[in-house]
Amino acid sequence: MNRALKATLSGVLLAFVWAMPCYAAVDSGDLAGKRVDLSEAAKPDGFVKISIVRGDLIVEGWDKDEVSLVGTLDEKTEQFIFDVSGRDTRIIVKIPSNNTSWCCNEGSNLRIMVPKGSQVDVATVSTEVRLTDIRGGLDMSGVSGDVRIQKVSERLRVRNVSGEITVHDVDAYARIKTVSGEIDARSIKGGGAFHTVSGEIVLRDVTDEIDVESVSGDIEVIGRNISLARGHSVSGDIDLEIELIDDALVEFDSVSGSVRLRLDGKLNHKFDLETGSGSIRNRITDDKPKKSKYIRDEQLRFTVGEGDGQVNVSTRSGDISVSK
Amino acid sequence: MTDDTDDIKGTPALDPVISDSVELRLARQIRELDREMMPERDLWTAIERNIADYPQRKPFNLQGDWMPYGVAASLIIAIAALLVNVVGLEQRNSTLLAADYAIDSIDSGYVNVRNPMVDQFRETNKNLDQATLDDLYRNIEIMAQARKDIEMQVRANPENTKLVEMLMRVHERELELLKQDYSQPGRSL
Repeated sequence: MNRALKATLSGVLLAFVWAMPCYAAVDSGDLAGKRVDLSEAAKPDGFVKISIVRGDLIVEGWDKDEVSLVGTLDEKTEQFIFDVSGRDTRIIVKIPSNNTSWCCNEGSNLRIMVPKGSQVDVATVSTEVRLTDIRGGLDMSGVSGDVRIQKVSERLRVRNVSGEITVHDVDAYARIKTVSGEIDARSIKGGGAFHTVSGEIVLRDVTDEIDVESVSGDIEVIGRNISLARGHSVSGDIDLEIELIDDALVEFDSVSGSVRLRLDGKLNHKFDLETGSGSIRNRITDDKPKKSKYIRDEQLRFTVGEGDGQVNVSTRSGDISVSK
Repeated sequence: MTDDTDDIKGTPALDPVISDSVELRLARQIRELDREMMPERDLWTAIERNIADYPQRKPFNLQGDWMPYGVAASLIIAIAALLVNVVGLEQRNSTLLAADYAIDSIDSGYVNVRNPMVDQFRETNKNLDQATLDDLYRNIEIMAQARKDIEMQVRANPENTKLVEMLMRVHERELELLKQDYSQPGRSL
């Protein structure tokens, strides 16, 4: 009986100890505007979901098998969740769905450390975000806050509406979309797709495959070892300075924007350039564009080397320039 | 005579009296020549042979011969004009009309989907702070304007399939933007 009582009490105590993190982590309002400093053991390759509506957020990967959270919660915090359960970690700061509550303060200010191999999913609204050293893949979506990302492997997906997106050192195929925000991506080793509507796209030191699209924003790309480069714009200009592999395919078109293409390294490509009412400048060979007699279009086709690769550029009214 | 000739050479403007005297003497000498002079050799055989080898062509009679050529030329020009300006333009016009019709249909179908989503978006996200809402509406407007710009380009360049693809992608992205519940970050409807 005594033994049974001890066992029961031990069980209750153990259950209380296990329940402690959840109790400390799930709070409904007590921690609003307060400083937090929490940590939990986590799987080295677990899944971490973070949802912070507004404020400043830093997420960094580290070598510890632990998730840590330090900072100040939103003054309007309605619900705060810090929950580690098996492979899954949830960090959520909810504020009331009432626009008057959003007024007049700065939101959360948090720094979260996660195991480097974690896969991280971050959702925000108007939060300034800095994400560094996430090696298990990263998904990020937001509205108006700027996003800065550095050192990401496995996977990168970013969707933002108007905030600027800056990405450095990615070893994965990157998919980045925005409406009016600018995309600035550097050292992207796995290539990627970069789409905007009115924002500019600047890519530096990209390799492999790139797909860029903008309606009215300009596009500027510097890349090497490019196997596929494809892009479209309606009125934005497209500037490319790329080094192609032998059988690379390059396809760019614009309606009224100009396309300037500078190709580094050895060329072994067929060129097919066409403009409706712009002009073509060829600084690679002595071939001159063919001009129609009665309409203002220009066409130029020529081959450099064996012509294993293909370069197709067309515009409706923009100019085209190709050079080495 | 020699003296007279020297006089003439040395006189820039001939004296009328001297000039008359020279002309009279030339005329007299011509009259004193024989009326018929035989050529040194018979050239007629060679002349006949040359006429036979190179018969004279009938000269082009501008007044009588231009009519058939003119009629043919005008017919060719008229047919060419018909082909280029009438048939070609009709084809272009019919293509443009078909593109207009297609874009109108696409646009109408799209707007029927989009507009209820705008209402839903308004309702779902009404509690967002004003700055974020303004930003979202500004971006929805940017998407709508981009859609209209591309539609205009597709109407003008219906053969450009890449533009049509781009229009589809802008539709997709606009709907993606509208279906989001931004008050619940990370959760789409």
